[in-house]
Amino acid sequence: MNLRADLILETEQRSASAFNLKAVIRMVSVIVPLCLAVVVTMFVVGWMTTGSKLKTMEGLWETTEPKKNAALQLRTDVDLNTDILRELEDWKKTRIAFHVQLVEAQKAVRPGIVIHRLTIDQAVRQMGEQVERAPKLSMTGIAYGDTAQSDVDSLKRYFQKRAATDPKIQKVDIAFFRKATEKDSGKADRSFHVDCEYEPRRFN
Amino acid sequence: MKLPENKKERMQMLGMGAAVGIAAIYALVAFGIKPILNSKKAKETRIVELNEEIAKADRTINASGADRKFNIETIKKILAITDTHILKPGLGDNYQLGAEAIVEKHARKAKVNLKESKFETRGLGVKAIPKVTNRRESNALNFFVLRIIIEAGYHDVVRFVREIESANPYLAVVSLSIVDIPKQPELHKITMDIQWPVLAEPELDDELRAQLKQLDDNSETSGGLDD
Repeated sequence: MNLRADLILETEQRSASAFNLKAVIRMVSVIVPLCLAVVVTMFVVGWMTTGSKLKTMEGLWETTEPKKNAALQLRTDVDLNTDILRELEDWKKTRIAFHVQLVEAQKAVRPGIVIHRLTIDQAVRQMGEQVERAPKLSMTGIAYGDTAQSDVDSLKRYFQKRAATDPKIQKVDIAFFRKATEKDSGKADRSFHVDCEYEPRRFN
Repeated sequence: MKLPENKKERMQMLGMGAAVGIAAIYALVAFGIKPILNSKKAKETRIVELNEEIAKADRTINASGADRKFNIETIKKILAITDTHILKPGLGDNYQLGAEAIVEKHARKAKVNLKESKFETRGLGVKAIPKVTNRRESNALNFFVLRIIIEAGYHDVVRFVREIESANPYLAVVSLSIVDIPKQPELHKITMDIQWPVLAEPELDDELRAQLKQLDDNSETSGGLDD
């Protein structure tokens, strides 16, 4: 039979274990709140720093935004004004100065031809999506005598030769060439109509 | 604080302490840290957005120096044309009187005898061409047509048309008819429609001048065009 004599008071007893629960609880109760306090402080400081940075950026934006809006308005004005200038230039670009064509028409007419009517048209029209001028010069007249056909043909060829010049002639067409029915017309006299179409000139 | 002697009671107390601790940490995270984190994230996102917007705005602002210079040049070009070549309305939006004065001036220059040539004019009014602008609601320009009826020789007509066309490259002899007069072979009956561009809104002229003045003022106050 064994006898254990324990003379140490309970309050004086110490654990032989390396793990002291009390000490651990004490440490945890200090370290955990401390860590939490540090983390929370870091978050709050970070949050406040971000807030202050945002305020600075917002202040900068407040001064930048009106300048940006003014710059955008200026860009809109530039676009609108460029458009107005282009429209103005289109009026210049699309018209044909017909005095040159009138001189050419006179050169093209041989002595055996009399022009009774000469017309010019360069009205602005809409063709599908396009707004354009399709200039046209027309001549109606009488070619006298046996050379009537060659004279009118020569008139046509004169304009066809000019097809490559500016303004570009797109098409020369003899709409009719027939016996002249006027009172004083001879047997070989012919009335004719020539259309001379220029290349369309587009707005925009 | 002293832990209970009883092991079971001690474990219960520790368990409760741990539960309270976890609850406290959860509350701290849920109601303290998480809102702060969310708020911080939102602020950071806004900062990134603002940074981008400011960088973009800076590029726009930097380009405005060139835009301002270009706009001044464009407005000056427009005004130079409208001042010299665009028909201006007289009192009561009357374009005819101004057009007649121009035509008569050129007829005299071209030595067309106005008294003998039965010179007549007729205003055909202001009209619009189909829309040619994509940037504005309507065209900046309409047109006014003046019909001229005259009896003159072919050479006179050519001189007259040349005078008119050379003086103003923006107008057009939009239609011309030269018909012979059988009893007077040296004369022809001429009917000519002259088309002038006119401002669709006459106040555009003043608006452009005001814009130009503002641009000039801004240049002076900002110390130059490239600021």
